[in-house]
Amino acid sequence: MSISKLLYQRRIPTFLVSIVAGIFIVEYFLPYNVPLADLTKELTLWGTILYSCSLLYGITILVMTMIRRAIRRRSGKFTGFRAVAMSATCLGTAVVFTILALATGGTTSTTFRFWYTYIIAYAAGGFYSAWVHHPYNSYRYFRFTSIASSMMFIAWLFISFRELSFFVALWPTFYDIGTWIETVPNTAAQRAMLATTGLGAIVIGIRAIVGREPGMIEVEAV
Amino acid sequence: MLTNIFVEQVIESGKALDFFVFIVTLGATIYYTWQAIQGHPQPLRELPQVAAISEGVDRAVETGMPIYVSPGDMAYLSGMYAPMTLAGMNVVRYTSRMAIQRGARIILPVPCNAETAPLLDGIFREVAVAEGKPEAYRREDVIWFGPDQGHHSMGLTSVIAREGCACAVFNGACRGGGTNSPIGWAREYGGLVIGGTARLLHQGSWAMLSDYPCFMDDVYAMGAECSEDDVVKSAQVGGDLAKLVVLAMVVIFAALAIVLREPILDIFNM
Repeated sequence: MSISKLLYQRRIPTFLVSIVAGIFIVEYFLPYNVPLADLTKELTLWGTILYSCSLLYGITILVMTMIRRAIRRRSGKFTGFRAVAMSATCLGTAVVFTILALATGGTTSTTFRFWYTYIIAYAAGGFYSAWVHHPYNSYRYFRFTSIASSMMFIAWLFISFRELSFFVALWPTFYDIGTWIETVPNTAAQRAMLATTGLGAIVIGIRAIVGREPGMIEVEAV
Repeated sequence: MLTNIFVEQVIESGKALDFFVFIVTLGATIYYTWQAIQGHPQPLRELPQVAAISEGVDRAVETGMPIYVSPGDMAYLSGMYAPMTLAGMNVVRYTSRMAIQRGARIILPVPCNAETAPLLDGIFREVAVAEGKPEAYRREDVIWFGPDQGHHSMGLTSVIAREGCACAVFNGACRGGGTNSPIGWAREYGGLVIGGTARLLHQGSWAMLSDYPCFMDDVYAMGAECSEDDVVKSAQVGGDLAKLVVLAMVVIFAALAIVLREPILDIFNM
């Protein structure tokens, strides 16, 4: 007798998730209960263990992809030496830092931290500079294309005036206008948005618990 | 007196209002789900964001450039981001199926924590098999860039720069640091951008960056519509009843707070 893929890939995991979610909901609402608190602590620990496995899976597919690209000598549109060099850089760095960690007493050792800080962290500083693209986008796409976008632009403009002392010195009321926009219409809109989103999240959670949320696990090729 | 006993012995102090909202939402969701199972589904209006996915797929077929589909770079399977992730997964499945049917290439950027990597990979593979085109599945197009938002931002931007972009569908838990730059560049390269996040602070970004933005719980509605399942859609409509109850509570409590001041505020401390 064969076991359906639907059974072990969808129904059993969904049932387990329902049980675990139910325990967490009960624990949240009930007054403090020692056995239940210990159980949720244990379940959280197992959640962390499962998360670590998925992280390992992510690292494995990254390494496998890089090896495959190097063997095929193709990375997207790049071919030949460029493709191999890109994959080799990633794989080589992973190997070197793994050896460094094992040889120097782990990722918290002074030697490891030294090399990590002065190579990886500085390189990371470089790629975070790409975030300059955020304000660039803001200015490029801020347009009076609708009533909503115009309102958004006006709100942004007055908040900016409030933050720039030059404008406040010119006309102190700029400070009050900006503060009013932030604390009255902005706060009211935020509360409404959070309320609707929170309820929407509960609906999806309930659907997941009762096994009617295909986004969680769905099996097509049974 | 009775309320106090209930609150102290059955519900933890300070959570009575949460419990009430939870019960109302639970009741509404179960009722509408049951109605749909019995053959009386609730209609969910057609969302332009979902209709635009078809345009994006056609664009990919015409230009030969890929479609990028993701539940967001912060798509966790636990905590407050889990519902966004689940909604995003429905959109990933819907878009992948349409792309494979029409012969467009899809690229699935994996969120930073890689929790959803097996799910994304599984969706891609299963949809390809279910559509009778197993060769459409390409393992190297499920890309994990690393555990930090900077990795995702730079890695995805570089892939978009190399491969081009016909369309980007990002619906779920998106961060500013991980997604805004690639989405901005997707637009720069002429890609159609669809999606958004239910994360409050990023609504402005998506208003500017997306051709078809999803704001807050639009993200969940898009997920429900992409599921193409009447039961799921009906449950989402059921949430509207809970929203009306909460809206009524806001009005009633505001009125009572003006009249009574202190006593009504105690309800929130139960």
